[in-house]
Amino acid sequence: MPHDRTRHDAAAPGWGATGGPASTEALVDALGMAFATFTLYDDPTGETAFARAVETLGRAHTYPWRIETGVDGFLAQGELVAARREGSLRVARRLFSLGIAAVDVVAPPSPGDLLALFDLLGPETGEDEARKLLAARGVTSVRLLDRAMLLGGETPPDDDTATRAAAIGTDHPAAFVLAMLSDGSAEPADVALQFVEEYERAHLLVDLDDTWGMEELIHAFVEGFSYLPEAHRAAIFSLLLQRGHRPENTAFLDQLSGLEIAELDRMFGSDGHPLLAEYLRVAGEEGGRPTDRLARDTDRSRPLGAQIVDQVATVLQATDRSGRGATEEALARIAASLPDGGDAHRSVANLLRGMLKLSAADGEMAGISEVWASRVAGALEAGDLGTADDWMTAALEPGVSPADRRTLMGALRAAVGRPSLAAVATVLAEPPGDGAPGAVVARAAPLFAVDLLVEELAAEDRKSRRKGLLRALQVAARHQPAALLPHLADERWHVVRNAVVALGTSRWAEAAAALHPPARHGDHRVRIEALRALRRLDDPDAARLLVDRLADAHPAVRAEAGRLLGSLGGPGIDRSLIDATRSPDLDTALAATAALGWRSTGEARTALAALAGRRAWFGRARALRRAARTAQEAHRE
Amino acid sequence: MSEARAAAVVRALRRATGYVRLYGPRHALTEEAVRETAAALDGLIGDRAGIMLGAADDTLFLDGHALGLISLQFNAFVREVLAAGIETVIATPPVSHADAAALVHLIAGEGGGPTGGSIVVNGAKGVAVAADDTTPVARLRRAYTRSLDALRGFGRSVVDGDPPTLEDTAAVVKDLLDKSLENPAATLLLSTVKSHHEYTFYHSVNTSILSLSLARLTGLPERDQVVLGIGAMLHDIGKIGVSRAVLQHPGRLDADQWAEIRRHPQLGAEAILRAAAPGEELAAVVAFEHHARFDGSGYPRLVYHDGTRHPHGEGGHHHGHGHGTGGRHPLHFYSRLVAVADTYDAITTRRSYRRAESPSRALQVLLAEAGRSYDPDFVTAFASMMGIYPPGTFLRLTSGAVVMVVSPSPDPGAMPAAVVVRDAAGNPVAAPEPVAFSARDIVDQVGPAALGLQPADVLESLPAGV
Repeated sequence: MPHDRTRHDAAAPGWGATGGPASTEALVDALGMAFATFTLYDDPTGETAFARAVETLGRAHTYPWRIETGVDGFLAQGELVAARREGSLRVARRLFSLGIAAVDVVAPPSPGDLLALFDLLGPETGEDEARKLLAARGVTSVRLLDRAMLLGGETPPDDDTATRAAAIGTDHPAAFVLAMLSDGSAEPADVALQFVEEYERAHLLVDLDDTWGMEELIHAFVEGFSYLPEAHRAAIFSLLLQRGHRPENTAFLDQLSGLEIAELDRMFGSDGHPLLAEYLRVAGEEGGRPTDRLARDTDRSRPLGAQIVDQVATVLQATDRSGRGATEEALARIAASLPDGGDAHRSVANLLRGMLKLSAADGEMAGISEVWASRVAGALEAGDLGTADDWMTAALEPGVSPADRRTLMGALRAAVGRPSLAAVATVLAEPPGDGAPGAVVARAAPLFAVDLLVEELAAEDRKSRRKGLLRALQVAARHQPAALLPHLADERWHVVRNAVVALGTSRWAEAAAALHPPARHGDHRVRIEALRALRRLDDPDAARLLVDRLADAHPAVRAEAGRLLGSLGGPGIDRSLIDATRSPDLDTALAATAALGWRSTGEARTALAALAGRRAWFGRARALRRAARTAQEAHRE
Repeated sequence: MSEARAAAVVRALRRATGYVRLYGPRHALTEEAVRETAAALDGLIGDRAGIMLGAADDTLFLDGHALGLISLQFNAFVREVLAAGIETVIATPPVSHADAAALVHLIAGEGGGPTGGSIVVNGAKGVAVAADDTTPVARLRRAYTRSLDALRGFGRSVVDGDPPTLEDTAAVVKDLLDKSLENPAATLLLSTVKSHHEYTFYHSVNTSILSLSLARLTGLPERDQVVLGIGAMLHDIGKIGVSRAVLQHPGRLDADQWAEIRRHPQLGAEAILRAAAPGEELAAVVAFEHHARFDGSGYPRLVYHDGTRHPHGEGGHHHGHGHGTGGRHPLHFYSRLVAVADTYDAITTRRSYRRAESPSRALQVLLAEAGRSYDPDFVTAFASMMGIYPPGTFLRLTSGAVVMVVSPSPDPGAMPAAVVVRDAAGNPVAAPEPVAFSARDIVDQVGPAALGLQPADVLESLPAGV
């Protein structure tokens, strides 16, 4: 039983926004809530839930807003709306079964509008009736769109003319044309007027900015045009020319080929249609269509089809002065331009270059980066260094921006597996000469391989392989030493150790400061390598650090610090060592004593001699004397 | 009434599918359910020539009309059908028990689909062929069908984001190459098969066939022909990936979606590169360049040059059209060749916004645009290959008979080989016979639609040796 809308509308409260804009999910839930209330109560408008739903539906972010129907519920922009209320699903499914494809809410709906809508969801409403029934009840805040209308245009039409125009958006232009011919007069002039007016009216329904919709509309009408008899087409053609001041009509004419226009033109006598020349002149000047001379320069006494055949035959039978046929010539030139098998690499590289540039211009590097990286990695894995070089070259070209190159190298980092990395390590450890296969890969490796080599080195058990990997890492690090810095904070001591070793050979002076913390690392092996690295990098603070390490808890570190101090120049080192021999910590004192042995200065030798000649029988003094004498023996020239 | 009959078909199919799973394909109950399915289909077809059931977006369609209530009532079954990869079912009377059974088995995941011809899944009738038919034409049709399947499979991989390979595509291209060597005329005739609903797939296979034929004429080595054939077959693959997203979008396209459409050459090339084995990468160049023009216009704007010089040299003239590129052109050999085949098939196919043109008209367009949109040498070679009346052209003679061109004449001045398909009274000829005629005997060309006959339909009834 339909509810009395009038009574409820009069009681309707004001519909201003009382909260923030509602999300699509909230709007759909509100619809579901309203429908659920509608099914439960005789007078749902008196229910709080219904009022709340109406209030929510009045708080859409913008109007109109649209939701589509589907078997699983409502959709927005093609995506299913995650509604919580079963009522939403029921409304959606029922509308779907009634042939309603979408609901446009053009204004905050009143309670009466919602009741009218829900009334239609009952079993009495037949398919394809819902839209008209809702409109007949005077509901304007909600519009229902059936499937044909959804395909035909944005704005749901209100009258039959627009409905028919919208129906043209379906794939049945023949049906539309037949309907037109059977509706009333089938005289060409009458049909032409109806056709052109329909077309012009439909054109008004499409947004000027809606290029897609405009194209669909024009194409659909042109298709329908093609189904008409010749006399009707000629009449439409003439009317379009007469109304050529309207841009949509010239757009229609622009779709016809030169041949079609020529065929139609012939129906207007030997001189053709009086307005056609003007259309062609304007179209040619405005660039709307090329002046199709082949169609215009035709002999009107012969069928056009025959003339086309003659034109084709003329081309094929043409010969040059030597009597060589056109086909023979063409095939000879094609044969001369056949791709050389050896050119394939270059062609692929060219293609990649083009794709990279285009992707960079579009800001869409992800896809091509992934493809490029997988091809490079694949070539490396297959041992095809030449191909890998070709692909790599495209990424290293000056035209590729640093940011894009980083993206590419990041993708390559992700794509390279162990076999590919092995190939990279080989060319790094034994760099090929310029121009040899793998040379480009070797040059590019520091850009992507440092992290991979660090990890591979960490995972490698075989000593022989580790040596090669470390060498590769050192080579790579010379070009990208900064890439190693993050690894200095790794939890794994051997990773830190390897990074320290590689940094030490990088000759990158700025690395020195980063190596101070590893010089105090918890693992003695790291501390030893850090000290060595600092010594290689000529760190100004190396001396201080080395002297500090004389007091290291581990004897190997103490010994190495001493050894490194032996070759260190600079003022005060001897004095520091001599002072250290007096350290209360015996191990420090012994280390300092041993370090003095590595020194070749007079001061150091004198101090060492004094320690070695001291009269001592027990304890610390005796130990120091022994250490001094050992140092003298070890370094006696 | 149709809806009730459609519901009967769906009910019968669902029951039969369930019985296959419960009792197996040869159980009495299953057989009975299959018989009911065939009968229901015949009932739905009625006195029509055939019907098409389609499934998309969880909705069932009958001849393009959505069956909303049925889709809801049988939603789970519709999803089963879609999960089986079935998008369309074309049924023509009388529906055979074997085909109905095969359809049921396909939905139940137990079989490869009908081959008898009364039911065609995901395709037009023109390529249906019986499994035990080993005639050359049947083998050719199977090669065509396998090409469509390979293309659909690749397209699905692209859309679903699965890692694709070119293995299947390469295999079907090689098969087509072999078949076109065995029977070049029949292969060209088969390339006239069209499908409105699966335009992209059929167009791609046809383009590949035409490209392979032209490639052979140019002397391209066989290995390169295969790569070119792959490129031709997949040239529009980027559009498959884009089209679904665009088609599923309910409203107007926004700027981003338009940009996506214009990126489909790039997307297609990426998909092919991802899938290509070493040596096959150049297939991607066809996808990348298929909207670029010979004179450098079109899209994408090709920003690389490999320095190849066009054999015509600067300022060369050909068919009255100068070159716009001053002798340098960026398009690859493969792209220039495929562009001609691509356009020829596109022009001769009816689209929703344009009717199909005759084969001669298609040649005329190519010749008119030679030097601008297309490489003039490839246009000439293609026109020579197809002849002034390309295979599949229907001609009305002065006697009133209608003949169909089956193969071009080697001599451009001579008439092609043709068979009679309509006698002087306009009646269909059951066994087309070769006929000789001269240019003077030709009244006009006749379109397939006007005849109600497609060139490929005549293949099986052609006399041997034609």
